[in-house]
Order: sequence, then C-alpha cells, then structure tokens
Amino acid sequence: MLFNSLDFVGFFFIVTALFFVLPHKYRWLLLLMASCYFYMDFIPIYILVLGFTIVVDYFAGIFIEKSAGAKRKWFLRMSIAANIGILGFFKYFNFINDNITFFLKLFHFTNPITDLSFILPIGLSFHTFQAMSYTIEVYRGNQKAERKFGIYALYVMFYPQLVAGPIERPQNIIHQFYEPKKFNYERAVSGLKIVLWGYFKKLVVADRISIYVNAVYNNPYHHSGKTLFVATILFWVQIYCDFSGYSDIAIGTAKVMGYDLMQNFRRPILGKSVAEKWNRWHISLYSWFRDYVYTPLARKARRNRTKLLAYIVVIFLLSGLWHGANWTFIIWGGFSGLSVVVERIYKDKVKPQKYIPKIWMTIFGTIIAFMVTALSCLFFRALNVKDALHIVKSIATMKKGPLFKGSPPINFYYYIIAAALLIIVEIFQEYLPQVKLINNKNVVIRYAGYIIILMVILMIGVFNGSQFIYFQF
Amino acid sequence: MTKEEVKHVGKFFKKFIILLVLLFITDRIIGTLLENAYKNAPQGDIKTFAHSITDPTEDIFIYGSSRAVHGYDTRVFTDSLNLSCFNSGRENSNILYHTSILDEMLKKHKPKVIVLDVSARELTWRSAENSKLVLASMILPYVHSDTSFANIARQLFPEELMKAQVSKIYAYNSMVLSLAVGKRKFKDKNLNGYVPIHGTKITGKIPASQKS
Repeated sequence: MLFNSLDFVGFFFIVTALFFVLPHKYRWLLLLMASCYFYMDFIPIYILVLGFTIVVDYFAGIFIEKSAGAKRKWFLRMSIAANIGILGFFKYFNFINDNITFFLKLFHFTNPITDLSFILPIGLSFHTFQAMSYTIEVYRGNQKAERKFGIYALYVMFYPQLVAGPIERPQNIIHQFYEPKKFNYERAVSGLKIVLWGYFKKLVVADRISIYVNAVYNNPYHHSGKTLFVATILFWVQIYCDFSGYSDIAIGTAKVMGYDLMQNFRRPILGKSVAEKWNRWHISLYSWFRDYVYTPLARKARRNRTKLLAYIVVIFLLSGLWHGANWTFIIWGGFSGLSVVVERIYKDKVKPQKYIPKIWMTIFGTIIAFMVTALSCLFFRALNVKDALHIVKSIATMKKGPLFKGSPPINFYYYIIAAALLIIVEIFQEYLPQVKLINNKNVVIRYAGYIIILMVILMIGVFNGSQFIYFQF
Repeated sequence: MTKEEVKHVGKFFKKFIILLVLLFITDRIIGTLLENAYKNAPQGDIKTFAHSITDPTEDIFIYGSSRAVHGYDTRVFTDSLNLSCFNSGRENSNILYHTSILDEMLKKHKPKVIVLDVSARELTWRSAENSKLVLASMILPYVHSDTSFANIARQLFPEELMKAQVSKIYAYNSMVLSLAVGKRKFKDKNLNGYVPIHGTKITGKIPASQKS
C-alpha cells in the first residue's frame, strides 16, 4: 500500500480510530495486524521472509541475553548471518552471478548458474537493518531481549516505517509500545502537519520533477550536456523530496498515534559542507553504519588517520551497496566517501576558515557541497555504468545541443516553482525559524497556510500513484 | 477513552470540519476561476482537445501520439489534397485516448478522411495506463457537463472521477499555469493541432537500444 494512495488515507484513519477506541492491552495486536495487512498489500507471500527473520532474531535476542562469552558472540553472528544471508540471496545473488558470468566470459568460460527470477521483497534492506540493530543492541547490553513475541514482531513491522524507514533502534521504539497512549489534540495536529508537508514534498516536488528526470535519464544519449546537467541537479531535489516526503509521512502518522520515530532528514540541501550534507541525509541509515560499523573499526584504528579516512570510504561504499545491487550504486558510494575525505583533508591542510569570512564560507560551502553531492547522484540514477559515464562525459564537455527542444515547455516552470517553494521553506526553517506558516500562533495565518499547501497540492501535485524510489531498496 | 480524550477528539473534529469548509469554499472559488479561464482562452493541448470535441469542421482529422503531433504537418495535407486538416494527436497517448475522443467528434461531424497513427510500442499496458492519465487530464473538466465523458471516466478511471467530483480544482490539475498566464507568456506554436519542434538535431553516437 502506497502512502500516496487513497487506500492508505482510508487505512490510516480506520487504524488510528480503532487504535484509540481499543483498550491499551489490545493495541499492539491491532498495529501488528494492520502492519501485516499493509505489507501483504504489496506481495503477500513475502510476509514469510519477514516472518522468518523475525523468528530468528527474536530467539537470537533471548539466547544472546541468556548466554555469556563466546557463545553470546556466536548467537549474534548466527543472527547477523541469517539476516545478511536473506539480504544477500534476494538482493545480491543476481548481481554476484552476473559479475561471475562476466569474469568467466573473459576467459571464454560459461557460467552454469542462471539468474534467479523474482521481485525483491519490498523494503528488505530497511527491516533487515532494523532487525540487526536489535540483536546488536541486545549483545551490547543496551537493550533487554524482548520476551513478548508480538511486541518484537511489531518493532520490525510497525507499518509507518516498515518499508522505507526510518531504520529505528530498539531503545527508541520498543518501550513506546508498552506505554499507554492517549489521544492528544496538539500531538495529532502536529503529526498531521508533518504528514501534510510530506505529501507536498512527494506530490508537488518529487513526482513533478520526476517527469523531466525520467524523460532525460531514460534516453541520455538524446540529450545535450546542459539538459543532462539540469536533470542531474533536479534529480537530487527529486530523490530528497521523494524519500524525505516518505519519512515525513511515516513520522507524522506514527506521531498521531503517540509514537516518536527518529528524524531521518534535516534539510540536507542547506548543509554547509559535503560532510554536513551527509550528516543531514538519511540519518537513520548513516547513523546505523556509524554506530555498528564505523565506530568499532575506528576504535581498532586507534587514531591512525589514514585508516580512519579509509573507513569513511568503506562506509560509503557499503551504503552504496545497501542501496542497490549495481555498480552504479557502488561508484556513487565510493565517490561520496572520497568527496568527504577530500573535503576533510582540504579543510585540515588549507584551513579556509582562516582566510574566508564566515558568511562566504556558508554560501560557497552550501553551493559547492550541493553541486558535489548532486552531481554524484547521476551514478545513483543512471541505468548502468555505461550510461553514467556517458552522462559524466556529456556534462564535463558540455555536449552540444539545446536545453530544450524549442522553448521551455510549461512543465519546466512547474519544476522550477516546485523546487523554489521547497528551498524557500527550508531556508526559513533553517535560518528564520521564528517565521512560521502552518505553525504560526495566529489562527488566520495558520489556516491560510493549510489551505495554500492543500491548494498547491491539488493544482500542481502529480496524482499518478507513483512508487517511492526507496521502496526498491 | 477518558473524558479528557473525548474532549480532545471533539476539539480535533471541530477544527477539522472548519478546515474542510474553508477548503471547500476556496476550492469552489478557484475552481470556478479556472473553469472560466479554461472555457475562454484554451491553450495548446487544451485548445486542440476542445476543438476536436466541441466544434470540429475539418475534412481530415489526424489521431496519434507525439509522432502524430510533431510529425503530421496539417499545412502539407491542405496544400496537397486541397482539404482542410486538423491534427488531434496528443503526446503520451495511445489508441484508448483516440477512440474516446473520436467517438465524441463523430457525434458532431463526419470528416472525409481519418488518419490514425499507431505504433506497436503504444499497445503495451504501460502505454494504456499513460493514455488513461492523459485522457483523464483532458476530460475531467467536462465530466460535470457531458454525460458521455462522465461515463468514459466512470469506466476507465473511477477514482479520478471521484476526485474531480470532490474538488473542482482537481479537474484543472497541472493546467493552472497555462490557464493563468495564457497567451501573454507562452507562445502557442499550434498549427491546426500540428506542433513543430525545432532544434532537435542530436549530435554524437546513439546506441542501437536508444534509437526509436
């Protein structure tokens, strides 16, 4: 079930109404059943895959807590192996097999193993990482093993964040399932405001811009360097609004019921450096890699600077691989990691803050970091490495040709309006938080804000029910 | 539910209803303004569509997707055959779209020649889905006044019809800029439905997979 469908709107209101009508002791069951229905609306059979990981990690948590020493570590390893195994099988089998086939072909051999033919279980990378987070935290002693199977299952399956995050930590969410929740007007309105802004990002900005980006990126050889450059920049805005829009809807719907999910985006467009942009982007994933991969490696590196910088690249490479089984994602991850490392070395050696006034550092830092991260996204969007390299070459050499066939189509003005609205709102949120529209204390301004956003959604929103990009991960 | 919760729920629904009423009023006001602009100064695709179904008079009518819109110069047909010609093609459409508007046109006018441009690519499920959306964007403004369009919408996209019945603005989704600015800003290059495109020469090598 897609968040941007009428079905979901009905589903959300029914589940929320039942949630507050039911006594507290039955609410977890309602949420679990609703989450199962939500998930099975995509491909029902894949609930078995999810069920398998839930059972494995539930028992792994208990065994880890009960055991000590090497046995404890063994249970953790078994749990992680089961999760990675499922992820590897469904997500990476064909990728690895294709690469083996390519390698064997170089020596005139054939690969007897054929590719598997199935659709990737939706949101697999998200709930697998969330499940691993649980067993690791139990192993570290930060979280007690959950004894109630239904609550643990709900931790993995809680429908707002089941298929595209935020990737939660057990310490943040499990205890909330035990707390009795009361309907609170302020909280419900605050949640719905977040949902409204999420829909704006998805329907008005992301889906509107996707029309242009898809047209260009699905036929990159037909377009000029200028067109590819503009499409690449717009793609960054598209993917940001698509994913953060989903996160907002997830966070908002959970908030209406009284649950606090972690923040997933913090206006990355205004990050003043490449590193800061990444600190504001997909926070739940990058903090996952930081907490469970980078920090243990960094401790072993013992302040060895070269190793620490290399680990940053490793983390980004892994994050690229997490996004998809394609070399384009790996290159994107590698490039992103290298850009962070280069920036850190530059700042340490040159110390530009000594020579450049703060205001200019902020302006140039924001623009340059945006260009670097946006251009790296062309690897994220390109269909394959060959296309990506063609796009890089076309942009670098500014391949001849017009930006448009003839004069700009009217749709292009919509892209500009949509992106401009987003940037203006984010600038206000970041630098002038006292200026408020839908959070204004004045009731007239507040209601005018609601109506303006809803009218803009109705007038220029795209209602073709397109999937969220991150569903594929 | 506790008494306090009931109080909160009551407050929530009271404010929610106020918002819905304000939203309904704004929707009707803006929707009516857009409706007037749509009827009085149609532009581009809207103009082509409106002519095809409301006052068709030409001898030749051309139907097809973007290949027809940008490929069939109505002036050539008129010069060569000495017959008036109108290009009713629409980008991103397929036979589903053409059938629907052709039926509407034939109720009012019988042309001498009908040209239907169809390629194999347009017979896919995806193409039909796109065509439905294109058709929806064109006929939703008419569903309140034209029962045959309302019936088409009920059959092909009942959800869209429902949205258009709830919101008056929704029927004019994505048209607001062209309706608001109209002829003043965007030069209409429409030549009896034919839209030439210039500057489309592609330089460099194109892989076979991307050649249409």
